[in-house]
Amino acid sequence: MACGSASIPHGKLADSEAAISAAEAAGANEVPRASLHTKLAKDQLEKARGEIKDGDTEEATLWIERAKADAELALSMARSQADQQRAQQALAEVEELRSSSAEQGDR
Amino acid sequence: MNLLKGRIGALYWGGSLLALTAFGCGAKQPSQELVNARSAYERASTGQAAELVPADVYTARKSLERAEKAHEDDANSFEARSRAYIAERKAMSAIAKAQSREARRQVEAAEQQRLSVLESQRDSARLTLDETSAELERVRREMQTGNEELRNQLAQRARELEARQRELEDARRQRERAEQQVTAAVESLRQVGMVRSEARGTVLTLSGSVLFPFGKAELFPAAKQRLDQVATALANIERPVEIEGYTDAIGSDANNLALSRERANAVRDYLIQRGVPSEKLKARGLGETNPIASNDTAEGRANNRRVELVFPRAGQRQTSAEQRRPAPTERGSEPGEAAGWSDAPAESDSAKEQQK
Repeated sequence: MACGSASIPHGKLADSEAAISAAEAAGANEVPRASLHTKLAKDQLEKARGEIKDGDTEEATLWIERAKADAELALSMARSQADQQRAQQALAEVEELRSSSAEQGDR
Repeated sequence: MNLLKGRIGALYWGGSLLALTAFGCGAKQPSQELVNARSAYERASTGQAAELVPADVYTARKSLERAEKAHEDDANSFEARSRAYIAERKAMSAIAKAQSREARRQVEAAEQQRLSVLESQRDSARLTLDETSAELERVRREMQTGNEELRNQLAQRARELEARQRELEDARRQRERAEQQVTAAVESLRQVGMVRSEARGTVLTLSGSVLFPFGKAELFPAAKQRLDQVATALANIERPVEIEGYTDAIGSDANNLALSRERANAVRDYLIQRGVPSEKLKARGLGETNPIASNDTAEGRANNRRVELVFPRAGQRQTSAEQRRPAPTERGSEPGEAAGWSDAPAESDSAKEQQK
């Protein structure tokens, strides 16, 4: 392929690694679905490194892109989980406050 | 409205992609990755993500389009499967971001609700505080008014008590003075007649034989000297003195009554003549009633013929017949009018005689 002769995608590799770090920093490892995708991302980066070693930069680039897509999905899922937990907590707090307020009103 | 437009747009895009797939490259069997990617995009474009994170849905669509193109070019290539794999994750990522956005929206809404509940709590607390303050102020005012009324009542009561105290003190002093006056007067009269103390007051007894000739009501000149002493003593006395005439039991009751009255009036008239105010002197005749000695002997009869001057005890307004010492013999048969006080000397015989 024409683009097979492309240079080794060090920048993309670094981007993907950064995406994995960001997902882990957002707590992806504590969210089961998200942790699956960080794991996939890491595995695929390993494959990319193998391809780089073998000289197949085209395939390596695809693995890197896949890894990045998984890492970004893991980050979104981790954030989503955290946001949903916060929402539940906030709603529960309001409910509690409202019922205690109603009790006060009843006095 | 926006939601509806977004959904319609997403459906249109999805439809066009499916049409592209169906007719452009119908012969090629889609990989599992592509099936998953299409399905994920379908969910992203028709769900809340289209409205909440349209940019991410757009990115997912571009990614899916690229996957479809790669599939067109080389259906089973690693690149085609990888593009589909990536497209699926972009779509899933858009869905997750939409969930985040929705959750954050809920947090904001909850915060708004929390604020409004707190505000209403604060308002209600402020209202309660205002009500309580008003109640407190009302009670305080009531207490002040109550205190003032109570103070006024107490002050009024204190004034009344002081006045009563003064009255009692005055009365006591008056009584003391009257008492002293009577005592002084009576002391000065011990030479004039016999003095004795009774429940109704102090009684000065003047012997009838010293004052009047037998059966008459005209005073002896010597008697006048004695009565001058009485007049002098009475000058210092405020309370009225009662003059009572008595006789012995000789003669008819009617005569005795008349005689005793005339004699009492004679004494009264003389004392008035000597300057004693008439309102301080009351006279009446009681005849042979209330004897102080036996009428069987000459000496006893002499003692019964008498004129008594009664100085009423302080605190006693007037002596009534019922309060007198009990009579040793039965009382006079007609005490009625005959026993009444005579305040009109003009009607007495002695006064008539004096006027002549």
